[in-house]
Amino acid sequence: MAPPVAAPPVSSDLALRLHAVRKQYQDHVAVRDLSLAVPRGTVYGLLGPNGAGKTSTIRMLMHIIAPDAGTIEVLGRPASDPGLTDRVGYLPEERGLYRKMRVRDVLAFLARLKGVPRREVAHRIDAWLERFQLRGAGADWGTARVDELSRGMQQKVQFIGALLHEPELVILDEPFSGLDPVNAQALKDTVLELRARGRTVVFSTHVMENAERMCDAVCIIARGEKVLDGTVASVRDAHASRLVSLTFDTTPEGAVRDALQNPRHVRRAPLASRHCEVELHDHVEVGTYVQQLLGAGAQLEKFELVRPSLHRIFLERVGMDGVETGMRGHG
Amino acid sequence: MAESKLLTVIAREYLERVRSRWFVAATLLTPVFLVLLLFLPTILGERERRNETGTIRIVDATPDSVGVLVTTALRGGVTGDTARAEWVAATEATLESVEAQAVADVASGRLVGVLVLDTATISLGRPRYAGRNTTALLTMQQLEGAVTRAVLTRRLEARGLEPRESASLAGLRLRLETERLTERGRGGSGRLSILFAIGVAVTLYLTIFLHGSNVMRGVLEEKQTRVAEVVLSSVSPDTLLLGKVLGIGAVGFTQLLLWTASSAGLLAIRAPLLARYGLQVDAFALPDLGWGLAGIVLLSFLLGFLFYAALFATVGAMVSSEQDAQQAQLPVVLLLVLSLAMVQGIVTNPDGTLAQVMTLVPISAPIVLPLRLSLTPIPTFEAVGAIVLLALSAALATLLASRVYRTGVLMYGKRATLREVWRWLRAS
Repeated sequence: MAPPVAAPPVSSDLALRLHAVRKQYQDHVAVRDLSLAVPRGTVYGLLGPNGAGKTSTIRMLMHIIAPDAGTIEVLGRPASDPGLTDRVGYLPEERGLYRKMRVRDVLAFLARLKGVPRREVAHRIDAWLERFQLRGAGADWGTARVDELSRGMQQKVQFIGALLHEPELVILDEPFSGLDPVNAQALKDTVLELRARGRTVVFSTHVMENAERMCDAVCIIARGEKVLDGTVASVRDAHASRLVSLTFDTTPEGAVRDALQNPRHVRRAPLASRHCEVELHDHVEVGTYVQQLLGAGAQLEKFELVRPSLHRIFLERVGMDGVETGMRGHG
Repeated sequence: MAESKLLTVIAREYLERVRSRWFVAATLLTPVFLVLLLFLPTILGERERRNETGTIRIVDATPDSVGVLVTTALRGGVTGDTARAEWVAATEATLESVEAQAVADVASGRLVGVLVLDTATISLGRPRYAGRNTTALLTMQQLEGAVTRAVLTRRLEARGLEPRESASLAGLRLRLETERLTERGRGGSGRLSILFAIGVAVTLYLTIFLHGSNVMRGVLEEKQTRVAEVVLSSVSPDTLLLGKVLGIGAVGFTQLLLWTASSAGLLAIRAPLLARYGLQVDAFALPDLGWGLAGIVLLSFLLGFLFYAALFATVGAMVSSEQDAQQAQLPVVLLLVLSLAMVQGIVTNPDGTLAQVMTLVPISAPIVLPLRLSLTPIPTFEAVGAIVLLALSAALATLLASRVYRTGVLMYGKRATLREVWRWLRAS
């Protein structure tokens, strides 16, 4: 197990602060000693495979379920503070609205629940409906019943519902699932615009491309545990030394090939004639490895450290043995 | 702030339901049904009476003309309504041919039936009737009654009584029957107050059942559509549940008020309206009940609804599909049906042990207490005790429901076992 981390001092610069949070269901641990911090005004990605504990974590942030251990602070206050609900917007993974209600009535209901003053509700709804092309040019889906809308439209309505009260913090659980490219782009634009206005957006996804393009910082979790976190740039930099691109003068053979693919040093080293992209074990220094190659008589034409994509890092840390690491408790 | 959220939830539950077509239909159709119940029997009865064009021929071969009395009775109006009757004299000798002629007339449609009276059949107690309407039970009963009274009158006369005296003696039997009926109730309006009491009990049963299971369906809908999670990010589960129960309860209350008002209105105009069409009606005076009983009825509805709504909500939180709900609600429905099944027993003996016990038991109190109160005065401590017990049980059931609800409302896809529910109860 990881040594207990001392809780950092309370900071109002943080939109979210989790410390040693744990959630256990009857037969399994959903979230294990999770600690992370999300600065205000950033877009933060919670990444992980299905069943990693993302939704459990998000539900604890929303105080829909309570953690078994650890502390959660939202906007500088304990997550259980009832005053928080009006400052946070939430799009759950399991989506749904009252099917028989009119869109406008559902939105008004959600807005009123979040404390939006009655006189402001109508024009806010209009503005958002127009923005997501649900109103205007002769059509007004606001007067339709929810079950008359397509799934994509329903999702947009639900997204609007999460934003009507202009929350300081927006939490979106798998917001892109089920959206066509056009609506996905509209969603991305909205997220970036929220950040531009100083809001904090936290979203979970298992699509790394979205995270890489939109997030300032990410946290990858697997099997309920944090695998890594940090800004996207720092995460990629940290993994740069794990990945080495090598080009030889001639196709390596014999001792050079043995040194190149030495399983004590490399996780993978697929050789394609003169070229090889090597993935090193965590404990292996790039310098030491290259020196051993040269010592074996390798003639290097080119050698560079590759800055991997989040997708690559995710696969490397979670897809390969990261999952098993998670299972064992800690690597 | 929390109050305004509760109000928002209540308003949604209330308005969405009151605006729905289902509510409008049920609320409007019930008084229509009531109208049918109040007006139709009188109107239909009258129409039937007018349409009854068929004539019964009375073939009289008795020496003392029993048939004349029967004919008078059928035309006259001891009961006030009957088929037209015609009297034909016969002798022992001509009886066969006269009867054959009448039967032929029945066959050709000129007559509805033929009643044959002769000494032999009367002494056996079996006068003959042949006709096309032998299945009309009421007419047959009237016919039997008329013949019986006629024969009795003649026999009394034969014993030397004055015709008037014997007629009134024979008529006395009718009175006796009516008295036997009223013996069941208490006092003059006993039968009406029983009807009213049963009406109150059935109405309470229906509204509690209908709106209680609406709570279950509402909880289930929020689970099935997953909307619960969005709402729970804004309000606490207790607020959501309370708002739902209160909102739906208000719907039931509205319905009760509308029904009560429209029934009272209909009752008020029933007699004048029917009278305008020339129809006579007996007074339909309701027992004088007073505000005390009205208060108890409303209180019983509120507390009974709270009690059962909590149980129904617990069921809704435990299940994930309509089918599961149908099965899981059975125990709750049985409790309700049980109290309705007690109604008969309690009506016949409103002061008995069964009645006293069922008044105090919370599952049946909301139905039995108003039922008994509209039948008979009951001791104050019993009524107060029943209300207090019911209120406590409702509070307990609500507590139970909110605990199961807190966990169950986010459980999708499977039906919770009782052991799981027990764990939820202890966990929270």
